[in-house]
Amino acid sequence: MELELSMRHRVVRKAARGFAQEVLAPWAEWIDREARFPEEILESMKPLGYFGLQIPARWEGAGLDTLASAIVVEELSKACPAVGLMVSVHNSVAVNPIWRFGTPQQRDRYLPCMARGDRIGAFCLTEPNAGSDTAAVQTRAELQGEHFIISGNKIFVTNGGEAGIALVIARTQLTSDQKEWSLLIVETDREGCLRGHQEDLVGMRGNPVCPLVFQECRVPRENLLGEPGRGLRIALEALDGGRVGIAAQALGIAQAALEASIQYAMERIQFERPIGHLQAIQAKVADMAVQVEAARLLTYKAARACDAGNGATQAAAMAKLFASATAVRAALEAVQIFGGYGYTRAYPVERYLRDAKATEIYEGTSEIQRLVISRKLLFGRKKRP
Amino acid sequence: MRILVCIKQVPVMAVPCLVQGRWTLQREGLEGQISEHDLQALEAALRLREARDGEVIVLTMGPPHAEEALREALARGADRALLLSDPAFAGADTLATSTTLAQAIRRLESPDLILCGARTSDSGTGQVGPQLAEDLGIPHVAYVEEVLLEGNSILVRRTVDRFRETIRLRRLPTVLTFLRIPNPPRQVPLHRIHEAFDVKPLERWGLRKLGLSPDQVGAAGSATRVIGFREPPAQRKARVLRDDPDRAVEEILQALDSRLLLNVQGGIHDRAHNPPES
Ligand SMILES: Cc1cc2nc3c(=O)[nH]c(=O)nc-3n(C[C@H](O)[C@H](O)[C@H](O)COP(=O)(O)OP(=O)(O)OC[C@H]3O[C@@H](n4cnc5c(N)ncnc54)[C@H](O)[C@@H]3O)c2cc1C
Repeated sequence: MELELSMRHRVVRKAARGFAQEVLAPWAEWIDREARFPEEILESMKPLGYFGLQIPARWEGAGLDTLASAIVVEELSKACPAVGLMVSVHNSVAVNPIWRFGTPQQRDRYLPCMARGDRIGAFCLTEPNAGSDTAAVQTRAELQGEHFIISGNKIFVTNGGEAGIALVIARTQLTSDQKEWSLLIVETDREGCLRGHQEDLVGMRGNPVCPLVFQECRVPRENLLGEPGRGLRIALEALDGGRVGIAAQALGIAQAALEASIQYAMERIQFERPIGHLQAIQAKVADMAVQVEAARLLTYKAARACDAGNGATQAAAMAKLFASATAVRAALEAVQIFGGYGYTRAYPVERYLRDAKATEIYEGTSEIQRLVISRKLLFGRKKRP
Repeated sequence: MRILVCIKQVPVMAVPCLVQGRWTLQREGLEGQISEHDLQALEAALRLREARDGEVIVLTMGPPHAEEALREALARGADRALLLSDPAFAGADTLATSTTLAQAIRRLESPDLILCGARTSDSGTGQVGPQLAEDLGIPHVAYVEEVLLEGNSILVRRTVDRFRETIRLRRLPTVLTFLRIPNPPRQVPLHRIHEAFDVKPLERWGLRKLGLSPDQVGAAGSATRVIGFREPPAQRKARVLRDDPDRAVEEILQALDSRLLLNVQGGIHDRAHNPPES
């Protein structure tokens, strides 16, 4: 396996790092405090290609591969994880499934406006009674003539407050009367699609995560994405790419925690020397660096597996599990290295900790990742819990 | 209008390190980036091209991996790129560098403007641009901040010895070296990276193609050799202002401004991109 980044990937990293550090980073604290994105940040990202990372130029995308996308999300998240989350979810579980599973008409209709960032994407799986247990989804989409009528409650919708397009998983009865689920493309300005209040999150506060409620929302039949009755399968497949994105987010946060720790360790003087001269601090920095590097290799490997196209479920689950744990640990250690100051809002490390924790929860909790990984090892196949 | 921009890939360094036993920077294994002022020259070129149609060509002399700097410049909007790379070019001082660049420029369709950074962030002599102009026998203006096109002549603005100068150049081509420009360099659009690698042309020229002899380039063609480095003694001049706070703030601002540490016209960075004061 190639372990070094290609020149093309390095240029992508430079581009994303430049934007993240010069434009985004100065806003990160404000975004966290105000729990919203400034309009000008979104506007400045639109012409730079952040909303069409992987789709081909034909639909106004940047045509990057999954590895390049992961690098972009890593760099954005290092500066502002809430924006990293928005870009990751929009691209990996909204735009990409339409590109991969959409009809030519669906691609032409949705991809260009999403790639331009004129319509932000969201992914609606979770419900009040369906979290890890995805098969417990209650939302229904009933076919009446040429329309689906969608009814149900979706919660924790990342990008929900900004989203123009939502992919919604709902129970259908298209191929059988048995349990089946389909994926529908829903424009959020349709009648019967209502947004709830933004969640008051612990971290990732800038992202407008909110419930989306569907009250007999009528959607044309041609908005069905992929084969009827295969929605859950498509969603879980999209989650492979999604999890690489979450791993990349976690990686960015972990890297930020490491860099902040290194800087502080050489600035803070105790016992007449920078605390970086204390062996205890050196050990923390060394352990953090090793874990961050290991997380990076796992994440990039999973991204490459997505690009190779022959099954990335295992690699993506491993990357997400390890990178998210690394982010939490690195942020926790960073707070410790900063001492009392780390426990205040005057420094960014407490934010890293709050932001990092989310990566162990969404797009499958760490427990679920372990389940995915062990099932494959023990039973040789993906089996749902 | 054909604009040529000379750029250099410099190492990203937190702390500069020297190669053991040699008076040269450790560059091996370090990530590269376009030198800060070269990036400003490129931005100025792209803005000129937007004001008046034309072509922006980026040129660098460097090892093969300097291609990365050219690809980035292409993604930023340059139209084509030329990489001067040959083992014989290694170890060049500013004279050998400008000799090599000048020869390449003679072999290109003649440009109207040649833009350089005023100095590189890894050696900072500020010599290459002016030497290039001398070699080509054309005028130059160093430390330019702004360029305006006016019919067939160009106006350049710069600040020298705390005076703002405006110079009109009636004869092209000319070499301009940039110190800082009013606009920050643009961000790289992700969807232009594919073009930068797969569509826009990048040529590689070696010693033979340039038609120079080995003793004109690289270490052999260099007039100088670094024989030592020493850190200058740091001087601190502290001043304590004990007046009333408003007057003190005024004085601090003036002191910073007179040392060109403030940009009174709205900041080097675009205000719109900074978070509102809370
Ligand atoms: C900030 C944020 C953004 C989100 N964005 C989205 C989004 O855009 N779209 C979307 O659909 N959802 C989203 N979610 C929801 C997220 O995916 C779910 O919260 C997550 O999958 C867990 O579901 P739950 O909260 O219902 O927890 P539960 O499933 O109730 O889990 C509770 C606990 O039990 C454990 N557990 C559950 N089942 C098992 C099992 N079989 N084996 C072992 N342990 C188990 C879990 O790991 C967890 O520790 C988001 C959540 C957050 C916090």
